[in-house]
Amino acid sequence: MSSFILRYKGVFDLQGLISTVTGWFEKLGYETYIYQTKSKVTAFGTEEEFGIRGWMNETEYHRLKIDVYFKMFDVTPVEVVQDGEKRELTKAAVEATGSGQFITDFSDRFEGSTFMQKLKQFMEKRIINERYDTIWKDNFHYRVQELNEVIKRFFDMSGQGKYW
Amino acid sequence: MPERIIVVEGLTITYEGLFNIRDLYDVMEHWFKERGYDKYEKKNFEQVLKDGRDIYIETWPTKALTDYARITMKIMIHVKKMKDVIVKKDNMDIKMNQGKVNVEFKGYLLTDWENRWDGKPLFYFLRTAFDRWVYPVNTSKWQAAVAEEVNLLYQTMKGYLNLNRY
Repeated sequence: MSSFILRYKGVFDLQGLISTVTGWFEKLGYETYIYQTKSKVTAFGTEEEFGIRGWMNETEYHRLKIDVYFKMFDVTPVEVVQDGEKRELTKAAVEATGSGQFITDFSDRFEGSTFMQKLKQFMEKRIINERYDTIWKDNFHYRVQELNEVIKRFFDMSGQGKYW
Repeated sequence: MPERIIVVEGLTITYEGLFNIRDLYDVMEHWFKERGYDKYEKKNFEQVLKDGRDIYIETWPTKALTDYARITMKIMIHVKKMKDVIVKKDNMDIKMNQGKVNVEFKGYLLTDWENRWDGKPLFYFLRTAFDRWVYPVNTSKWQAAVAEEVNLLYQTMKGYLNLNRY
């Protein structure tokens, strides 16, 4: 559904990044977990890959799932003096890919028979379609875009807006 | 799948000098919000290099014209060698940016964006027939609307960068 890609190369606080994203999820009532898929030492630093997944059952029928996957290249720790205070930050090239998934019937209650599946299709197409398309899906799209803004703000990227 | 008609392509703004990247972005976003577009920022890349920052922003704002037709734009902002500079204006220090900006605009018209006429072969045939013989008047109106909207945004951003010539 909704997705974004962010790339940033520079110095940042890795722990701060993780807590910003998980904090945003928690603030909105999402359950989260962090999964690491890769950690490799190379000549230029380390390569790290991990994802943060948040999900929430908004109703008994639909679930919202947002996944942010971080790929980091040439990760090296650097010491920076900020406001007279020594801080350990990270220098790396980051690619963050975010995607949102709108899952209906997440507990597979309509998967029992072909009739139930057809009933589900009919319900989604004819009965609850307007509520879904105009309210929930729209809201969800903007939520994913908001996460995009949160990460951009964290990196203090130049292309960040204030109108959405 | 909706049908995508390319209406505007190759419209570009090129600028080199002083500007404020946040303001440029805000001008664009404010314009989208004011005109009722949905935001969809697909890519935002930023690299801090020795000779300045390289930024690439790709956004796909979209707005429904009718239940059948929709405007979609693709705006690509490419900023190269951007540096932060302080400029004195009226005895005030103003933080600005200096670098090369390239903004490319593309405008598309999407028809049957809700995929209502794609389900069955008969529907698809009917849609094609309608597009061919019944809707051409509307389609050309919608195409003109896309061109107008893209051009308006182009003029707004050009105006911000002070590139309009009188």
